[in-house]
Amino acid sequence: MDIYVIISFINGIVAIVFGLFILSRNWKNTTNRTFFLMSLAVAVWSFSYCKWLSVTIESEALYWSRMLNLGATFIPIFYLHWILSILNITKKRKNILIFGYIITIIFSIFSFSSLYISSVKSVLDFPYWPQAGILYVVFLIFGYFGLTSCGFYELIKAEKKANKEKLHQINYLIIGSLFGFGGGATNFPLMFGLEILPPVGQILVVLYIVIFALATLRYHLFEVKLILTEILIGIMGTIIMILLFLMPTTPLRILIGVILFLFLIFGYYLIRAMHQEVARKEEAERISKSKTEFISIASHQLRTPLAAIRGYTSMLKDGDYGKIPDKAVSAVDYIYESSVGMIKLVNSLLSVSRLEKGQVELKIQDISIESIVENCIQDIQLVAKDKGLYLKYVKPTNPLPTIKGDPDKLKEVFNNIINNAVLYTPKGGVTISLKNKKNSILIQIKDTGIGIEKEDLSKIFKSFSRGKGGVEIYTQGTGLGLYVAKNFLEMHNGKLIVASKGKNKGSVFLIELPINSNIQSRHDFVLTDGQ
Amino acid sequence: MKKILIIEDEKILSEMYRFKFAKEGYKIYNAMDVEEALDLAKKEKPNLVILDMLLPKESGIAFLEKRKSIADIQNIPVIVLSNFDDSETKNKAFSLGAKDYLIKSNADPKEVLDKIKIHLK
Repeated sequence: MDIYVIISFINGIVAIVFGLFILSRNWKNTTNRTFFLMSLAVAVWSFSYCKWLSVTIESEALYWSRMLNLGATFIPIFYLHWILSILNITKKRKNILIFGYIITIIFSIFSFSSLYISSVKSVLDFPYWPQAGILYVVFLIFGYFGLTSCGFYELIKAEKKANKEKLHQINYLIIGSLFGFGGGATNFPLMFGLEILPPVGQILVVLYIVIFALATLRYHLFEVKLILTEILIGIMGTIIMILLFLMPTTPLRILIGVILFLFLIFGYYLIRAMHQEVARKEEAERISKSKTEFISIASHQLRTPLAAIRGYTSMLKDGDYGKIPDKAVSAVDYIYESSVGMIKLVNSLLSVSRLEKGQVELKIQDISIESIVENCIQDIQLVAKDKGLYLKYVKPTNPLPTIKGDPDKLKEVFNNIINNAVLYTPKGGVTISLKNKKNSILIQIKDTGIGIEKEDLSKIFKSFSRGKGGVEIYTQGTGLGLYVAKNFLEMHNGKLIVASKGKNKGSVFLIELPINSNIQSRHDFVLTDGQ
Repeated sequence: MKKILIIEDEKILSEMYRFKFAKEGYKIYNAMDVEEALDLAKKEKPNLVILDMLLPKESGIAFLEKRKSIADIQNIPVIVLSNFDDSETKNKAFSLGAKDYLIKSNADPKEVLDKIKIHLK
């Protein structure tokens, strides 16, 4: 019997804590208010339950058993109102609500009459179990069963057409309702003298409160840390407060009082700090999102005038507007090259912003790495020749197997690294070799260029960073290329390794691509700076 | 003489493409939005359509959707020529029957011309 007192006491505390907590979130909202009222009814029921089990005089037991049933009488209507509020159909079901409130009030008026609870009787191990009167049966049918089923029915109906987010919440509510009302119902058989089993369901009641509270806090469903902390503080504070009243002597009372005071202050600051952290995180995400959206919009808008510059100069070069004076030919060429350079930058910016927005889609096909690499070499040949650099290509000893990947993205990766090699090499040249390892393909790009200093090695994969030497020698480098390249390779489950002996001692870029790997086509990338 | 309908609202660019393509001997028609484009297409029945995505009032996708129900123009090859490089839009365009999706700033007008010749065969 003691166990039931303890369980009910816990039910009561949890109900009050959660009820107040939800109310404090937003006391103007109907959903929060009705949850609080329901929790209040549960608390009245629970604490009266404790008292009822603890008294030894029959008349007192009768009184408290009626008290607990008064609390229980109000639970169904507040529950129904709360459910209808969550589902946003309080106006539609106004009639049922009004009916429910009317009958609840009628029952409550009679709750201390013998029509409701006629007497208390000894059943099983309990000396004073309340016995149902005729009106109580009416309550059970229309109130406990009737109103609750209405709520349940509306939940099931809503579940059928709920979207993913609401579906979660509704499932929580359905399970919680089953626990709560099912558990509470285990009290009824004994009220009719049916000695089937003791009210084992009591323990499930506390579960329903917790589940309901979590369901109500749907926005915070992902801030579990925050909720649990607040709940913990609430419960601990309540327990210390109870201890305060249980203390036998004044000095002990003062001690507990001081502890309570310190605890509440600590708790307040802890919760406030957590709220601030959540707010700061949300703000940072918002800023990052608007930044990447801005880059995306600006890039698209920048492309229009660039298309015009590129288009018209290419037509001038083609002689579409007549012969250009010889002196002007190189000028027009420079305009064209500059516009193409700018277009590449805008494309990189777009790639980066898309990576940050997390929407990159790989178009996976069977590809031959050799042909992509050979294409890139062809593209850069003229530039290398102009600079007087050699461009060596070391073919693999046996033809490479085809692998699965996105040819455009891999071409962008190779182009980027080979371009860098040529651009950052003032004399000497670039050697590109392909090798077939057991489970992967290795592409090595070695140059005799300005090299990479040790402190820059870790930085070059971060967005918008370039090594010191790079700034001097190639002023059109945006510092975005390697960042994008590394991310694209990682999407292919590949690796990119850089080595350099130091300043002016050249660099080696090594790309490794697995031969048989599971590549996802959709990539949700949450970007932090590459390592 | 083959006819090409260019749906493009930026005057500088539509003039540029018109000049280049006309030089090759095509008859060029220009529309600035989807409604005008549909009317012009129904009237002139071009052999090929060059379609921009970011247009006033309705996007280029609307052109692809609306022409499906017009018998005369539902089978004209459409090449999307836009600066809007969004994969969702690309997929939608291809699923609605676009033959190609080119980015204006990534191609010289003569490269666009090469693609036109391929799709006009």
